[in-house]
Amino acid sequence: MQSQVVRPFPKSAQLSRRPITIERLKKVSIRLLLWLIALMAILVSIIPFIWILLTSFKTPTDVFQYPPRWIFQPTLDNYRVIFFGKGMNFSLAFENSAVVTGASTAISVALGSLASYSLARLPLPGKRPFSYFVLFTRMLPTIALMIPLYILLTQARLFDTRLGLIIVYTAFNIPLVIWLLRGFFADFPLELEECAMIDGASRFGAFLRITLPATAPGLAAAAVFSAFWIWNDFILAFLFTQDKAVTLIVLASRFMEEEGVKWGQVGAASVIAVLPIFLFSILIQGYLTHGLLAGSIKG
Amino acid sequence: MKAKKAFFALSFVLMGSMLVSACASPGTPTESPQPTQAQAAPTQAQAAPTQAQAAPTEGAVPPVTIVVSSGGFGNNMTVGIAMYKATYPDRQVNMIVMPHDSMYDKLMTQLTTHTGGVDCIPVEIPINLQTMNPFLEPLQPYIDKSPDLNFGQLLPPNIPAARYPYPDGQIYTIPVRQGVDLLHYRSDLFTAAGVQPPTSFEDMVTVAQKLKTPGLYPLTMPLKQGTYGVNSFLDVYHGMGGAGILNKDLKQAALGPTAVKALQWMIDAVYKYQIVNPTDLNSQIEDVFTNMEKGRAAMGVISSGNIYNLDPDIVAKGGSIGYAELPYDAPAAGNGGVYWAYAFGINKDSQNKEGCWDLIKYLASNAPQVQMAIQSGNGPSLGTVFTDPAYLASPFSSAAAATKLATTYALAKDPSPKYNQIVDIFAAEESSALSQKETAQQAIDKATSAINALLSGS
Amino acid sequence: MAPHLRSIRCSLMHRSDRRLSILMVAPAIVFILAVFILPMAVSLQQSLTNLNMTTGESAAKFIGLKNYVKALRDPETLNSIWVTVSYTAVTVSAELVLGTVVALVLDEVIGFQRLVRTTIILPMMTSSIVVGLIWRLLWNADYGVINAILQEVGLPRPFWLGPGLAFSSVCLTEIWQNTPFVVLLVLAGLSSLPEEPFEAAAVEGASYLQSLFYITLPLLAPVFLVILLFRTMFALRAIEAIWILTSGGPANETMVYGLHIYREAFAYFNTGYASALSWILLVMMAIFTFLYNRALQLGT
Repeated sequence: MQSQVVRPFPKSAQLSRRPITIERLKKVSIRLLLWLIALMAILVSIIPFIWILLTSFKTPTDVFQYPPRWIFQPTLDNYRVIFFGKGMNFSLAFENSAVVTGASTAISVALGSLASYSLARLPLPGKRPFSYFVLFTRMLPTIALMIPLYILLTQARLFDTRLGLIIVYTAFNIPLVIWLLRGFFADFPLELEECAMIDGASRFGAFLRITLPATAPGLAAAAVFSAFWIWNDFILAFLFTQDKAVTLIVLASRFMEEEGVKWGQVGAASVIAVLPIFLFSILIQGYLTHGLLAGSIKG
Repeated sequence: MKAKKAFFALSFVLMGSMLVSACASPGTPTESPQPTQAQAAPTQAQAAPTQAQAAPTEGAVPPVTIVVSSGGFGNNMTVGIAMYKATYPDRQVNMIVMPHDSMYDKLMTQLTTHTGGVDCIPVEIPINLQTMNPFLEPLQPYIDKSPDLNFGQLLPPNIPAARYPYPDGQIYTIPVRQGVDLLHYRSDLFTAAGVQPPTSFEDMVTVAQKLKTPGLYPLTMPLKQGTYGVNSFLDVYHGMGGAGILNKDLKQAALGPTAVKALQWMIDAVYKYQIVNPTDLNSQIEDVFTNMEKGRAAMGVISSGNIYNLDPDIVAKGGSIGYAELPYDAPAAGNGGVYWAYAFGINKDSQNKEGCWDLIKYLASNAPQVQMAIQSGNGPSLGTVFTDPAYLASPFSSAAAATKLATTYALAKDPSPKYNQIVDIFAAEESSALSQKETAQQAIDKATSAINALLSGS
Repeated sequence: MAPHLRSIRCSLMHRSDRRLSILMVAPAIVFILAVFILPMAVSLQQSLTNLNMTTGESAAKFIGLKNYVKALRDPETLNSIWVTVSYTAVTVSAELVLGTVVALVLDEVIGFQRLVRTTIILPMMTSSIVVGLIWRLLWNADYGVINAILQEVGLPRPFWLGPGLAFSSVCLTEIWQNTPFVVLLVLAGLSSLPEEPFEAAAVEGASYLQSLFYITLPLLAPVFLVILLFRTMFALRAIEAIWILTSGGPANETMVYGLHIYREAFAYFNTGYASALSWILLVMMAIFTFLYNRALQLGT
């Protein structure tokens, strides 16, 4: 039985299976052109990051050098300032980001998968409007909800706390998880669960032991997407934190000062904010494509 | 199958530990803010001894939370707060640095929703007074029982609109930092070209033409769309005899022919006389500093409260800086540059009003004011600083004469509760005119009608 | 599994099923209720008043639909709608075209797939704020790399974030950030295309371009629709990078709707008006969702 859910990502490059194009590939000039375009794409993607990395090691004099210099005397001063300087607390911000992202992802994937399975499988009144609503919440401009949410959080004494952020992010993320997982659960063959139930498992037990493990790639994809946008989010963290629960991205934005922008420190902050995501994306690069495709097209 | 089981087990463990750590983190309301305070305490080298004393002590006075904006303001207050902590080791201060652009927004959001997390509130006077006053504690009772506060010396008395008793006669804030826009100029470049700082706007063009060399635009000013761009306009506008954007009763725009003349002069400076670099349309104060420092400009319009950035770098490179009043066409009282001040008020919802009062009273007293001026170039709000020997011996005192003179003629901004919106409206039109999308006359007309529409209460 | 058992359709107890299903959905519903529905209701109520946070709740009066009427006549709001619509249209179409081209190229390129894909997706993975910060430095007329390179080549150095150019610069930044998303989706779509149509076309002697336009692109239509939906959704809401780059731009040139709402809500504290603006956007989005679903149904 072929698993329709997800195909394993090919580790080696696949030759194009389209016979027409193989002819073209033999033309050297065409191949060269293709390689050139690919190279351009890589360069355009990478160079801005290289530049900000270089900037993070520059002294203020070097930053404002005209024309901009690629070779210069590097300094670790910017990193020192953002970690130990006044009013900055990068280690705390890093911790906050990690905890908030981890907890929100875990909780929203758990709750979202439950809800998504329920929507896909079980008889439920008002299913269709609910799934429309789920998509609708993704479209909301977050600004719309800010003032009422702000008042709510303040009254619940959750302003500037990690728990408050976690609750907000979880709530914002659950619709996304439901949306992503809907296709996975709908496609999972009913027979497997029912066989388990014949063997004596309860419905929920079948869900836990049969369905979930088989849709693990989908769950992983949902977790990856959730973690990614929560870590990178600015608006919610900016509005709902002050100094204790500040996240990394919010701190990175704090270098626009009264007089101007401290580019060296902006560079250092950006590098640190972006590094975990980069490492993470390199690791899960394979699953990203299929999770994206499977989740969104089946959705 | 085993791998999948392990995966789930691991994720449950992870989730559990995240939840536990989230609940036990310093970020939740069940814990006191003290553990994070030791990390957030800002210090400079000479305040190192107070680091050890920032450890929380049981039964001590609760910490005072004070907000400053990043950049110059934050740097200055750091010096003063460090001195406060050194003088009173058992008192704890939690200083929060907010980015300047969003500080007002965030503070107002907290004040209007009575969040109560901040004790000492920074107020830019006079423009924010009307909106922030309803949330601030009247200070007269505190002033009455503090004979050591040198109240009479705070703020030059001849700028009535900047006075903190506003508008009901009550006092709500204590000023700690003030500035007035001055003309900073590279005296070495001036000597080389054989010119003196200009005293009128026509003179400015002449002087600038003499200073012009390839790669140098003689005059630089912050023109980025926003508050500072509008400040630059106001500098020219005041010098030509204009007053505020609004008239005295704050109900109507008062932008007349003088405003058009001022805006036109600015447009001409960029495109006709070419003494201002078109890229200044995106310049903030930092860029003005840099231009002066790198010799890409010979004159800059910078506030007297921001000179800390300038001197050491230039002097180190063999340059020298002079300070002068901004040029003016009509030598009468009230033709000076833009005046601003920062003051602190006490949040009505604060749990620690006494502690906050002690802190802000201290920041407005002589010793900290002198040190803040000397160590980080703060524009003093206390008059006695200008005669202090330590201050006079410091490099910043060279600006003192020009500052005192300019302050005499400086004008504060319109203290309207809708000032932010008015600035946004005007800034958009100013930017439009400066980019030659419309004429100065059109810009002023559009701004006038938009501002009047706003004020007539829509 | 015993094959004969598979054919038995086990129809189990429906009642406990129903209970279970409601139980499983309940936690999610609670969250959504608390964080979405409740604030949305409050925001709707506020949009019908003239609430200004500085004067407080006590001074707020019910004014009915006046905010909405005002919004539709306010030149600043209308300007921001225009800016947002053009911004979305330009970036989404450019991303679609560029992304598809790059995906087609990458699909043919053999070797180094992993390296290429890893580097290509980096812009997409970066926070919008960081993207804004990076590009603010790059676009800088005096210290930016772009102008430095132009200078080397002898071209004039434009003022990228200044009047006239700010809109295009902001669009380019967004395109840079989000084209990888398109590339990834199209690549995945390409890899799941069936072979038969291509073999048939090869037999008939079709050229590459013919196969591209008559087979590949039509087969990728569902992918394009998904891309269109997602990118439009996000482009309509995008404010972070723009905020960092231009804060609304010289003379409101890049003042997108979201920034306009933010300004009204948090700089002027016209909460009632800002809520009305948000609800207008919400309604627009709802209409768009509806139309999109219709298109999907028609397509499949």
